[in-house]
Amino acid sequence: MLSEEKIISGCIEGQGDCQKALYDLYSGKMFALCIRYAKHKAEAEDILQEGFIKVFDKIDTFRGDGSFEGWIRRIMIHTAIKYYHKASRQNESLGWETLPDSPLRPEVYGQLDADQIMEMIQELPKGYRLVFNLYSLEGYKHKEIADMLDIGESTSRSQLTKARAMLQEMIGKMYSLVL
Amino acid sequence: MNSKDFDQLLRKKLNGHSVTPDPKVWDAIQHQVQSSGRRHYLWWGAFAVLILGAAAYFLWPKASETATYPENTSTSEVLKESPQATPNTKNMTASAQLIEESRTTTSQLAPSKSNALAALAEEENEVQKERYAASKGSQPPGLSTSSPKRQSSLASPQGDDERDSPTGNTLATVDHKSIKEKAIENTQKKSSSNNQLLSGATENSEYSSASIGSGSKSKMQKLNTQEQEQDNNLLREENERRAATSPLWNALSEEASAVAASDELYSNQGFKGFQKEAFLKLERRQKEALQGHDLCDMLFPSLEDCPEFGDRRRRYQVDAYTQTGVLFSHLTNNFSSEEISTYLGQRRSTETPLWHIGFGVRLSTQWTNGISMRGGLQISQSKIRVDYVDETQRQTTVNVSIDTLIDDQGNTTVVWDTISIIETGVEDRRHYNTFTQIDIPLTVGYTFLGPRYDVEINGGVMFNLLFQRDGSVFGAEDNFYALGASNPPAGQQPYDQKLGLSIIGSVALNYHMSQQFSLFVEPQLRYFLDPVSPGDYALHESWFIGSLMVGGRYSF
Repeated sequence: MLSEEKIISGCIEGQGDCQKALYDLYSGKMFALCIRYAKHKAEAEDILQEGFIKVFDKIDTFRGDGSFEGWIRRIMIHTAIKYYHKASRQNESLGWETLPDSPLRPEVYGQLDADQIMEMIQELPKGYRLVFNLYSLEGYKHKEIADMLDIGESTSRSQLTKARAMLQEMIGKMYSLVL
Repeated sequence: MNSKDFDQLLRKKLNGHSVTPDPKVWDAIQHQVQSSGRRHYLWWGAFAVLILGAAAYFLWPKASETATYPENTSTSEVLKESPQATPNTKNMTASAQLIEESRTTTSQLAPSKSNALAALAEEENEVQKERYAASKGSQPPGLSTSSPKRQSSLASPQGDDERDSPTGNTLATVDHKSIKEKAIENTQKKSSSNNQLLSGATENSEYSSASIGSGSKSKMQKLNTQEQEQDNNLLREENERRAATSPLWNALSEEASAVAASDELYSNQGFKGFQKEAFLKLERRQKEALQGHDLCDMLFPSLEDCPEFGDRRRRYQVDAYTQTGVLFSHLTNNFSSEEISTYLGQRRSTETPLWHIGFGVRLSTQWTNGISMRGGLQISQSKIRVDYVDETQRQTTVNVSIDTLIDDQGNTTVVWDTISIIETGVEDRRHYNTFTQIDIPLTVGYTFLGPRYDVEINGGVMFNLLFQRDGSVFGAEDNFYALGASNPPAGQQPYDQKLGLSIIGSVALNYHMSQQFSLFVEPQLRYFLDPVSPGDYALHESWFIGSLMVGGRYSF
């Protein structure tokens, strides 16, 4: 199996087998990421496709000062955000809300598997889903999210709060353990 | 469970989660990556075809017109099949061969005036030899021989008794007439101005054929004289009309007069038809000399009905135009090292070439053969957008809780304040680099003149006079470098002081609003032969500009 370094240098030279190797290496993780951002599977495939085209096109700009997976991940996220901008923009402006402590017992979360979480995230409204993905799962700050999505910082916070609340509600319904 | 724990738990659950995408996604990616590469080559291919096409057009030798006259074959056959032709038949076969020879010689001619005249004089010499040989029934002493085939037919010892030969005579006459009619038709198509003259030629041809076998020499001579006068009048009128516009026509007309004068001598001896053939040949040659290469004739030699464009007079033109387009920039490593590769990536990821705008004036001269030369002055500006991440500082506004106050009644009041703090981080920034250029374009072109629309193909070079740079780019030493410094340290200036030579190619559509004024649109490609970066710089940057010129033209 080719090392990551050789795959990258092969991709820079435009070698088809290295591009395929790179795709095989990261397409699974990146597709899972795309699904979390996309409304449906077809959109996730579009994001994945466009993201990998960008990866192959810009791979010579990868500086090597961070992880290669993280670099690809950022490209996929920005591609997903571009899709978000293509669609309708969320322009809600809600007040500051704090999330009450989860009414669910901690052991409930232990029973969740990744596919179930993915399904629930996909059921979130688009704006909520993006903010939740970016903040809770990718670690972006609200200001960065606000800049990326072209929304107010307060909107980002409120959507995150609502996204969490909706997820907890969905988990609760799933296990009928709402207290 | 608080928010933080909730996020952490989900993150942990999803960490490393993988979903295999449908195989069709990779197929689509592969297809798009390959077609992207193909598009890149297509651009260069189209540009190369344009340049090669222009070069081939100007360098291509004049195509043979033999294919335009398939009757040549039958003429040769007639000459072979009619060894016992009568004197009149001999005249006609000689005329037919003259046309054939004229066509063959024409196909070998260079388009220049001097070559055309030299070839013309040579042909005329040949014509006189033939006539002399035909009239005397043998070759005159001191004259060089023509082709053996022609000698055998022209120097035939057969006399008037064999004039009525039922096979050779009829066959030769019909074929000769056919050729002549074809030649007339062809000439008619080529020039409406010759209609009057050609009708005379047709009559003459008919008369000449009809007169065969009449035996009335006096009647024939009388009619010959009348027709000759008619021809001379037409020729004179045509000369006067053309003389006003073309010195070349005057020169060729002198040759035509010489032919007519010599024909007069022979016509008195009953050899009618030579001056017609000679004149038709000269007419054709004059037109060819005036028009130079005709693209249609060259590309479609078998097509008899090539369209005729315009009046082909000498023109001078002044153009004023604006142009908008797109700048394409290509950055590569000038030296091989890991640091420079990193820098290359940095420059590529931060710079996006944008539009190119400009305006200019142009003076042109267009010759009668459709070839033109243009020169002018052009001022233009190219723009490059620079998006980058400033990793040194960012200013962030944060809400800070100052204190929580509890009054006497035990009510709690939280005191907030908004302050600005400077913290280390990253920030997206954007600026634009502008590149102002003053250039001198010099092109040669060919114009297909039309009654309302002209189409021009131009190709040439552009000399850069001034290249002013404003803005800044990432320097090779990881700093921002201001462009346009007056005395930059060696190896640190990303752009040359001058852009050097570039090659340009364009195709213009010109719409005539009036006799003098017209509007044109002209897509233009410009490729810079030298990189815009200095040779000692870390990166090699080359430019290519595609633009659309729109302007007005005044002709005088």
